[in-house]
Order: sequence, then C-alpha cells, then structure tokens
Amino acid sequence: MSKPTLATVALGGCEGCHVSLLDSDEGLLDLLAAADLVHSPFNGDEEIPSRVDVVMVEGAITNSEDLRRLMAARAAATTLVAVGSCAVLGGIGGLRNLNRVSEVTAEAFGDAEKSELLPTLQGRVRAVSDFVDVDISVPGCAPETSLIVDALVAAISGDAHELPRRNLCDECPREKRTLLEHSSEFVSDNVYALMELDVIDEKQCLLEQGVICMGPMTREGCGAKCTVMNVPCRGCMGPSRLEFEQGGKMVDALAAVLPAGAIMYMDDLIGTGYRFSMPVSVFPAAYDHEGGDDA
Amino acid sequence: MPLGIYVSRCGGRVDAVVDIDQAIAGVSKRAAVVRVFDDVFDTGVAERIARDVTDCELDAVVLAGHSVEHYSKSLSANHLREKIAEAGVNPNRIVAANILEQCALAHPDDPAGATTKASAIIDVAAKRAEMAEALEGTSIEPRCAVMILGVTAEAVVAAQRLLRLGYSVVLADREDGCERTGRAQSMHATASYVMGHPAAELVDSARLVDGDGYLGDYHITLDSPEGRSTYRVGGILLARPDHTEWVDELRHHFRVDVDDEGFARSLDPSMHPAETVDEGIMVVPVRRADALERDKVAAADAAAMALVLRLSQSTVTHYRDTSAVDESLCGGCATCVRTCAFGACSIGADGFSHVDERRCVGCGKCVVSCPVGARDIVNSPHDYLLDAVRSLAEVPAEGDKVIGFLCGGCGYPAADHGASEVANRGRGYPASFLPVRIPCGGRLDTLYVLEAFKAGFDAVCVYRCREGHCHNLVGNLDMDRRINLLRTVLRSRNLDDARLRIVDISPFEGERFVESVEEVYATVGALANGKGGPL
Amino acid sequence: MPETVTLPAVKRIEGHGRVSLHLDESGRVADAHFDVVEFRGFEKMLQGRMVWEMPLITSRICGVCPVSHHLAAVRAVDNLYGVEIPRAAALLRELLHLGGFSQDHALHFFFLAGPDFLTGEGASRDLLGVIEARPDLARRAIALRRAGQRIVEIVGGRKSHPVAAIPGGMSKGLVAEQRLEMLSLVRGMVDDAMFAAELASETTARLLAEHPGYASQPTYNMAQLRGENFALYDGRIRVVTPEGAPFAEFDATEYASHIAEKTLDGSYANSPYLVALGPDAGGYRVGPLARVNMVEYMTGPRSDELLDGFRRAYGRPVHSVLAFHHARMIELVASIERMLAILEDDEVVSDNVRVRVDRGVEGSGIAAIEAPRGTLIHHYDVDMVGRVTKANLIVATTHNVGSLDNAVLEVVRGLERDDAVTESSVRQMELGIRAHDPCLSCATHEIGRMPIVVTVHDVQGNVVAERGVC
Repeated sequence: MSKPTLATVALGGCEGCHVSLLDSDEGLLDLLAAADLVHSPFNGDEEIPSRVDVVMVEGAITNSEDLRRLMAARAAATTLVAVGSCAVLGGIGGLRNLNRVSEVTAEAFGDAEKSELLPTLQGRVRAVSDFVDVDISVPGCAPETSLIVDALVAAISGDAHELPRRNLCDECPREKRTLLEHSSEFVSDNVYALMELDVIDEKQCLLEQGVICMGPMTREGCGAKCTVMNVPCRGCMGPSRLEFEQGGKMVDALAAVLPAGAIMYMDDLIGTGYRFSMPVSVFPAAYDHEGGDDA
Repeated sequence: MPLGIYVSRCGGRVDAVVDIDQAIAGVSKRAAVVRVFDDVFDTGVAERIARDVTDCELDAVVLAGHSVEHYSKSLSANHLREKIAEAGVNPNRIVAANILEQCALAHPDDPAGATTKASAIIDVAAKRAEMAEALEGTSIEPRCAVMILGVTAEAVVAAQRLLRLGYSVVLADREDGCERTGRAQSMHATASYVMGHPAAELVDSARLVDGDGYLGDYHITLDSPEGRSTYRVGGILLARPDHTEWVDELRHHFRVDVDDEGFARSLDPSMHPAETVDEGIMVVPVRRADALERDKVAAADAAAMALVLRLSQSTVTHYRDTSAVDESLCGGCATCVRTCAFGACSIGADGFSHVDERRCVGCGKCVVSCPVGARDIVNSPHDYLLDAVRSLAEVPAEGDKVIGFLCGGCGYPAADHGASEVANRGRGYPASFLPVRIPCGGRLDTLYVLEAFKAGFDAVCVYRCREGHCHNLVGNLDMDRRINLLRTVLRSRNLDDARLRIVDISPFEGERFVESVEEVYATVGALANGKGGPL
Repeated sequence: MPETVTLPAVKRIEGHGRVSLHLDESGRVADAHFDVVEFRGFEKMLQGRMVWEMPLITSRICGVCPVSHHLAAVRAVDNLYGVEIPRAAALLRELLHLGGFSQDHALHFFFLAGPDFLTGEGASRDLLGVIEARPDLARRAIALRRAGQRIVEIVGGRKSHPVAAIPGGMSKGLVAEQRLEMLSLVRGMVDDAMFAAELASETTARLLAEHPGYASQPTYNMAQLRGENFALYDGRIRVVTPEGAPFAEFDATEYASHIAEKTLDGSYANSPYLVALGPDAGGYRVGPLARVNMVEYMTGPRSDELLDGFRRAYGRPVHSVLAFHHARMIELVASIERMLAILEDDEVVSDNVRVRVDRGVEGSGIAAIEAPRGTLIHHYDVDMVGRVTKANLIVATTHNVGSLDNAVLEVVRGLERDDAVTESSVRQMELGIRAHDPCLSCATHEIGRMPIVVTVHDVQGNVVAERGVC
C-alpha cells in the first residue's frame, strides 16, 4: 500500500514556517517515512501534482502568482493545511494594507516602471481562507515545530485536529499581582517601551509594569517563549475567536487597564494590535481597491 | 421555538402612523400566534395571552408597542410580563419592541419610514426573543430586615412603620443622627419608640465599606468607631436622595442612578418616587431638609410601603443577569478583575475567572473587555447584538442611515423622551435612525461599531450617561476610552472618524436627543470617504 | 517561438526569482538579469511603527536568517539612541548571531546547494536524495542545524524570529545550566563542521575542474570587519578592488555616501552600487567569498588553518563563484570557534545585560551586520516619540544582484536563443546562482527539472522564449 502523499507550498511569506518544519530535525525523517513528499520548495516539479493527499501552504496571497499557486494547491489537495500567520491571518505583510499599493512601491522604487512580466501585486494582502476552504489551520509566526508536525501528522492519518483556545496568560508563567486587585485605577500611570523600564521585573506580568502585551488577546500554544524571555507577546498566534479582531479586543481590554492617551500617543496601537492579523480584521485595508492599483 | 407576536395600538397612537399589518408581515410568517390589541394593558389581554402560551406552547413573546422602559418603570405594566412568565414563558424571552416612543411618536410625518422601521424593530425583537437563553430564577425568602442609611426625621418615621410591621431595622448615620433626631421635639415619641425598640440597631459615625446582594438578601458592611460589622438585610433605604456621601459609597457596590448633582434618582419621579433602579434599594423622596413635615411623613410612608410590598412576599424570585465564563477560552488574564467596577470578578485557585453573582449587576463591561471572548451575558448576548447590527443595516432607506447605541441608563430613556420633543416641535427626526439598546455603555464592543460601518451605516451614534452618572459607575468612562482608542483604528483605515459620535445625555433629555440626531444627519453627508461598504 | 512557460521556483530575496535573458539585434544574448519577482514592501510598512519594534518586525523579512535582521535592527536602534550596551550583552548578541549563522550555512551546504554535487548519479538532486543516498551527510546536517538553532533558542528566546535583543542590551541573561548546555552543543559541532569544510574543499576543487573559468569575473568585494579579523557582529565596512587592494573604508553610519541603489525594470529588487564607480561599473560582491578574501584572520587555529589552505589552493582574492561553497564552510568552522571563545568567557553569564534606554531622540539610527549572505544594513529615521518616519534596508542578497547577473550572463553571452535555453546552459546558470546562496535559494531541487524560469527578450523587450522545463 502506497504512502499518503504530502506537498508543501511557499506563497508570499518569509518561509520561516518551512524552516520551523525543518527544525523537527530527525523528526523530519520520521515524517518523510510516513508520507511521500512529492513537491516542496526543496524538491519536486515546478508545479504541484494534480492530486496530493495533504498540502501544507505557507504564506499570504500578495500577488497573482501566489493566488494561482494557491488555487492549484487547493484543487490538488484532499486536506489543505494552512501553516503560519501569513496563511491563516494574512500575517505581518498585511501591514502594507494600510497604504495604497502605489505608495508601497513608490517607497521602494520611486516612480520607476516595472516590467509587465512581474506578477501583479494584489490590492491588499490576504489570508488563504479569503479564497479557499481550509481544512486545518496552524497560526504562529512561525508556529512551534511541534504544532506544525502535529497538524501534518493529523492530516496524514486523517485524525481530528484542534488548537488550544485559551489566551496566552494561561501558559505564561509570569505572575499577576496588581491585576488581581479589585480597583478602578490603571495598573500603570503610563505606557512604556520595554527598553524604558529601569528594571524589568522578571516574574511580574508585563502589563502590570506598563508594557503593552498582546498575550490576553492571543491564542496560546507557543509555550509563551517571548514572555518567558521578558519580552511582551506581540500576538503572532492570532485571536482564538476570529470573529473578534485582535486590535479591537486590544482596545476593549486595555482601556480599563492602561491609560488610553498613553496607548494612543506613546505607542503604536495599529502596528501592535493588528501586526499579524490585519487582513482578517473587520477592515482589512485602508483603501477599497482591487487588482494591484488604487483608485 | 413557537413565537407569539402581540401588537398594541397604544390607544391609536401607533397605528396613526405605522401600518401595523405591513410592519408584522415579515415576522408573522414564522410566528405561531399574532394578535393586535387596542391597548395591551386593557383588561383581559393578559389572560388572553396567557391562554395562547398554554394552547400554542409559546416559548418566546414579543410585545410590540411601548418601550421596554415602560415595563420596568410601571408596576402595572410589568404585571403583564409577570402573567406571561407565570404562564410559562421564560422572562428572558419576553421582549418589548418599541414601536411607539421611538417609532410612531418619533416619525409622525413619515408613515412609510416609520412602518419600515417598526418592521425592523419587531424583527430584531423577535430574534432576540428566539435566541435568548432561558434565564434561571433563584427564589429566596426575603429577610425581614432593612438597613436605613442616614437618620433623619423621615428615616425615623419609616423605621417606625417597619418596626410596627415586625421588621428589624438598622439605622446608620454618618454622625450622631440618632441622638440628633431624638432631640427634635415633634419626633420625640417616634424617635423613642424606634431607638428603644429591641429590633432596632443604631450605628453612629458609620461608613459603608462593602455591600453585595439583591432584594431580599443584602450584606452591608459598616465601619464605625466600634469596629466593622456586616449586616444581613432584605432591603436598603436611603434617607434622602441628596445624602451624596452615602450615595457615593452605595454606588460602588450597587446600581444607583444619580442625577446632575449626584443625588440618588428615583425610578420615576411621578409614578415610582421611592423606588430606584435596584429593586431592593428605596429612597425617601423628599429633597429638601426644610420640606414641610407632612411631606416628609408622606414620603416616609411611601418608602416604607415600597419596601414592605417587596419584602412581605413569601418568596422573591431573582433572574440574575450575570456574566458567564467559558473556561475553554479563559486563561485567567484578570482583565475582567480590573474592569469590573463592582469587584464581581476574581481569578479562582483553578485559574479561571469567577463571577460573584451577589455583586454582578449585569452591565456587560467584562464581556467586552474579555480579550479572548470568553464571556457573554444573557441580557445582551454577543450573537444577538451582532445580528441586530447586521439586520438593521439591511433596512432600506433613502439617504443616510445612522445606527444609535443607546444605553439603558440614559440613552434609551432619552430617546423615549424624544417623543415629547417631537410632539412639541411638530416635526419628527429621520426614520432611518435605528436604535440598539444595550444595558450599559460598557457593553458596547468596538466590534459592533466596526461592523456597523462595514455593514453600511453612514454614521454611528453612541449615547452615554453624563460624567459621573452612570449607574454602573464607570461604564460610560470605559466606553469613552474604548471609543476614543477606536478612532485611531478608524483613521488608520482611512475612515472618517467624525462618523462616530458620542453624545453625553441624561435620561430625560428628549430635546437633546432629537437635536443630536438632527445634527448627525445634517453633517454626515459632507464627510469624506469612509462609508464602510463591503470590501 | 515561445516555449511552454513553467513556474519559477527560484526563490528568495523577499521571495521568488527568475532569470531573464535579453537578445540584441542579431538575436544573440547581450544581457542577463536575475529578477526578483516577490515583493512585500517592508520600507513602507515600517513607517509609523515604533523603532524599538524593528528587531521584531524586520526579522520577518526572512525565515532563514531572522537573527541577522533582529540584530542589525537592534544595533541601529542603539545607534540612534547613542547606547553603549554592557559587554555581556554584546557577547550574547554575538553568540546569538553565530548560532543562527552556523545553522544557516549548514542548511545551505547540505540541503540547498549541496544536492547538486553531493548525491552523485541515481539519486534525486534534492534534499530527499541527500537523505537517501548520503544519510551520513543528512545526519551531520541535521545535527549542525539542531545545535545552531538550539543556541538561537536559548539566547534569543525562540528559534524562529528570536526576541531577546532589545535596545540597550538583552532582555534576559544566561544561567549556568544554559551555558553548560551550549558548551556541550558547540563542542559537538566541531567534528561535523571540520568534515563539512573538508568536503567543501574537495567539492570545490572538483567543480572548478569540471567548469574551468566559470563565473570568475574579477569583482570588487565588500564586508564589515573588525580590524583585520573575521567578525560578523560589528566593525567597519571595507571595500577592496578586484586585485584585493583597499578601495574604501567607512563606518556603517556613512553607508549612504558610498552605496546607492538603482531600480530594476524587471525585478522587484533594487541593485546597490558603489557611488564612486557609478551605477554601471559600481557592482560588487558580498558574502562568504568576499569575507574570506578580505580578512587576515579568522577566529581560531582551525579556521585560520583552513583559510591558509584555501589561499594556497586558489590565491587571493578569489573570484570564482564556485569557491563560495568552500569559503562558506570555512566560515562555519570559524563561527564555531568563536562561539566556544564566547562561552568560555565568564562574563557570558553575567546578569548585567542591559541598560535603560529613553526615547526622545529625533534622528537616524544605522547599523550593519554580516549576515550569512553578506552585508546587511538597516537605517531608520525616527521622530521624538520614537515612530519610524522612514526606513531603508539593504538586504544582503541585493548587493549580489550584479554578481548574480554576471554569473548568469557569462554562461549564455553571445549565444543564440535556442542555445541559451538548453538544459546544460540552464544548469550552469543555476550552479552560479546557487553558489551565491540568494536567501532561501533557488537551490530548490526538482527531479530533473530546472528550478529557474528563463525568459528571453528581443530588442523590443518582447518575450521570445521561456524555459523552465527540461
């Protein structure tokens, strides 16, 4: 009996998810023993075969080539696994949605013209689910190796797959102190960049130290590695309930915790609250346009 | 889920403007019963509806006509709801659809528009009724004990009535009230009776430091020179509305409505002067220390009677609207702990958020501030609110469409009072202004505002209690902060945030309400780019 | 007559790339370009962001070398705020860099470029082929990568997109157990790295013999060095002539006076050039070959000896693109020796790893770092509150666009259209492209197929042939 077939596709992203998969080290060999890797950035034909049991897709849809290859991947796949925040949420590349495409290219190339042969840039960066049904999603930037491998193993064996749903505070070992008090005061008189703290209390919740942390707004599953390292979460796993956008929830939640004025003027509400999930937010772009250029 | 639709013509005021048949055409298709009454408070109507409930096994009922405020503020009107509940419909599934004050009376010069709006309002109410979870009631035997805050002549009179009827009474004063009152000549006998009564306890130089509970079962903790004691009572009486120090202390633990001056406000100054927004907290409705003695006594009688009416029942059933936590989502982040103005949320040893149902007043602020969406609240579930925004967005209208989020404390009553203003000026405001009632400004999730714009509304109006008046203490403040942060989001998306208006308002400011609506319509057309529209 | 178009799998700079060949009037190849067809627009996206977030945002430019961006960014912010970080923090950052550097080089040699020359006949020329035909090599590669990534994880907090380098130093220091674990890991890398260097040496000799004179055009070289030493983390930028003589030396903050960028019509990448030489003649090369050409000393006795051997074999400076592989493995050994030296320094477990940094400086922050593929420059202009108003990033691979173009052109210059797109021509072009290791490289292997799409343009710019399938 032949092995299930597996393919991986890298769309518009940094390929960090593929590297995270490679980080399974010897585990990769096990995976390759369980399934036939028929196509990937490392092997196979240029085009994905017409039928593949499991296809892993990384990256967002940023241009016409990404879209073409996504549709080919979905057509081929029995099970489509979207891996990484770019594929699942649109990812950090979605920040370019705050500008017109023409402004983005102008910043890089001035008014130089580009060949028509280059793939056309999409009007806005989009998540994979904007175009196709996704069977399994694994957010994260990049997702922990074990999360990716678990999802692929589940897809290959046809098992159910679930992501943890609680927010990061569940996993994070930092202590809540002032947040547990019944008080109507803010936990800090100001909002600080991490670098501005005199001393980083290694045990205490970062929000309580006046540093904006996206942990409460973010799905757990990454092991809280950033907060363990004394660095605030930036929300790369995305929200647990996708109908609530991360930036909106950041506003709703932090309004009672930190001074609003400070959040607005001393920090970057948009770039922090929507860093990985702009394309799946209620307004995924600042300009209502399609097709690579703006109105 | 069999649905019953009952429409009240409100004595002809509704159908003078709204074509009722057309308004209920849509919802009738899925209703098990539809009836139109001249006035839903007429004799026999309650019985008729109760029979329908039994015969058709109705599970959800819409009462289209008066505002929901009417039912909360009028004991007689509320009686109708009680009868329907007795017949077997869960109280949370009896929904009022306001097609009178905010529809027929608001748009007398636009019958077509008013009819369209009425249809939408009834439809949303029907969905609310159908989607609503059954609220479970807890029945308690009310304690026959009353805490009186502030010892004045009126308070002593009320105390005497209560003591005579077998209630025990705690009289607390911030100074030496008991002694002071005792010295007044005219009060001497009454005061002596009260002070000497075995069932009366007197506490001088007292401060209220903690309180929780509800009608029939309160715990009130007082600090005094003798130390700290917790009293278990069934009701609370505020001796005077202008005892602002007591009011201030009370508001940190219970829902208290205050006016511009910080005085406790009655549920309704004419019909329910002694009652307040909390069922078990009464206020002696006399506002001046130099009021005539007979007025003071009458007021004291009113307050005592209001208390006794409630506490003399053998059981009191509470349908507590408390916030619920989904433990599969809750990570113990404690945002809710900081958000709740009443200290009702705590993180337990199990790491999850727990709600103290004795302290939760159902404002819904924690539902909004929960960063992971682990909470919801029965009185205004998320799915319902989102659906309401989207359904209302589909209501056809020529010209601009505006959605109004109206809080139960001020915005919504003010909108109701808008009807009087319309009558005064003889001109309605646009019928494309569509209202959504929320229990408190704190229940407004920025998501609903964003979705409203996305669904196509040209402007979003948010009404909030004036500074310091929110009867959920800081619901208005939190909402204000959230909305202002939201402006940054709107601007980042190139949406003109002038399309989002916050209006400070008090519950009786009908004129201000109408003016605010007209102002939005006058200015929104000129605003730049930004009609959400589907992308 | 246009042939069937197949998909480019040439990857990376910020994405995918392909080759375009341009014909002159006589129908022969006159020019060639390596075009980048992916674009994400980081320069614009960074505007409006807080500058201390740059180490976290720019790392997402690349999933293979996020560490390089993380560190270049944080050093640029330190530069902006005039920060002197504690010595322990500098050691930790360098250690983090070297951890990422070593796993990246191992990845490239064994799994990306390697399959070209390591698997022999019969096995597929890709990572699967290496695993099948040379499981010993696969295991060494995995071991090297695992060690390097573990160092990144310990020091940086996570393997993918590390977080610990913050303005002012590091967010967290090391504890003794972590130091011991890393010492053991790094010591374990030595053997595999020496083996790889030997293998690279043999392979390079073989390739040079098989493709004599291929892609050896003399070129300027650029790298950031610490004095005369191989030092990836900081130093001064130097440029040497094709003969190896000093041409320029400057601090990273002065880069704009020496390096400018021109836009490319058929590519989403910009092409940097030396201002002094002009846009047409100002090309230069960065990366392992450039670095190895320019240093006097590597980092320890083993890598110094390997460098000697390299020079004895090929002279100095070396221009043949095929020597990249050998140079790359020498760097692997050097990074391991340096990691050992750092770990043996007791200050590495000091808890003084940061100083406070206050915002409130309006101005520019600029820094350069030697990423695995070459010099990486980050430049941010910032307002008083700390928001980025403008950003310029010169990513390592873009410096080599010209060198890549030349390697490709050399194979097919003067050939007629049909001769230019034969399998043998395309394979040769690939050889040169992959040697440069342009980010997650076109060293993606496809069984018997070209990973690169080659398009041929006539003098009007029309596409007259495309080739991607063999």
